[in-house]
Amino acid sequence: MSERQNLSATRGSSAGIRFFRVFMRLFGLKHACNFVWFVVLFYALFDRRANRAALPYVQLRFPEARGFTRWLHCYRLMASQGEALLIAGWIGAHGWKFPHRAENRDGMAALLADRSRGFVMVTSHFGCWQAALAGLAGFGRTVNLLAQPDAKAELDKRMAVPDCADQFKLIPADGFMGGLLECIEAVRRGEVVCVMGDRVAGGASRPAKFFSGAMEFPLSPWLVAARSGCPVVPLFIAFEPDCSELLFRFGDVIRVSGDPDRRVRPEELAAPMAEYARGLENMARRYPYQVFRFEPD
Amino acid sequence: MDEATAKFRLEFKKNLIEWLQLEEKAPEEIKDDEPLFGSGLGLDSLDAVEIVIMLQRKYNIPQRDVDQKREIFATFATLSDFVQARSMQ
Repeated sequence: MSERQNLSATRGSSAGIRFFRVFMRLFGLKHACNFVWFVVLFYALFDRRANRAALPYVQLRFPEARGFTRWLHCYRLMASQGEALLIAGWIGAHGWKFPHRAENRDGMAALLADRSRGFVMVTSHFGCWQAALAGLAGFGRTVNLLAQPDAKAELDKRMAVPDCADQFKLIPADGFMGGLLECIEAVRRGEVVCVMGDRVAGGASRPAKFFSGAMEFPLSPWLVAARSGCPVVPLFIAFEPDCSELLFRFGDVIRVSGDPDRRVRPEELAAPMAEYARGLENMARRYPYQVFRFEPD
Repeated sequence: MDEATAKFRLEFKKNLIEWLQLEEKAPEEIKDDEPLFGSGLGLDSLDAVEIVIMLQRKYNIPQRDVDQKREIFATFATLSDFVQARSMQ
């Protein structure tokens, strides 16, 4: 994977992760989350690349911010990402015992109840997204995760994998046709396919309105839905600023249409994608420092 | 190339252009040995999925039959020959 795509994967060296695991064991998650602010301060002060990567989102979310205020937003964003990693690490070590609540679960629950058909769950690099697998474990359905191949090697590091990891399958995004055929097959088998909807990793994309500007979003989740004739549920996993609780916010069910007898045009996928982008924007208003869509040089 | 293959390829090009809505392309502009993706026809992974759907709908070739056959998507000719062979079965 290129350096450009892999910036967030560079967060947290093995030594750093071991250090924080020990720190959490000794002092608990809350103190680790406090301590991470000191560690991240170093990056915020001296890592220009990290600051530049945070800027596109910060400029959209806080267009009025300049100078020190803008730097402060970047710092808070980076520190928040550190907290998210710690929460994920805590869940990975302790199992799915983290306090959490769900919002707007009805639409998704109705889809889950219909075991004859699968659906696409569009997640985001938002909040403690690494907890998605742990949260989805209770679904009682096979969940497929479309992810870059380094996620396989780094799964323990990145994702809070619960005990029932056998319920999960990883579909490599660098596989044949970006793994999209496998996704379509999985949905047709009645399984859940989990795809990141916010970060473009080389595939086809379209811009969608995001705050006062626009951001590029990948089209692939929406094509999978259109071609397998299934609905889409956005999922955002936020954490409270004191790291005490996770919020699983399910978006309204999004229907994606696609004529089976002709190509699905990108313009047709743009409307449901924009609906998802609005959901992400709403969450960014509630939790402004949990959008981890870093855009490196 | 025999006459049947030439005829099939021309028809397949027309179907491909129609399905992928490559309105700016004429069948003769698609070279047989041209790569489908990247520098050739310039198709991407979304187009690849659409081709698979087209094979299902127009040629009754199930998705699982092409799922791991990366090699048949190398050029237009490899894809067309695969579809032609399947059509004759």
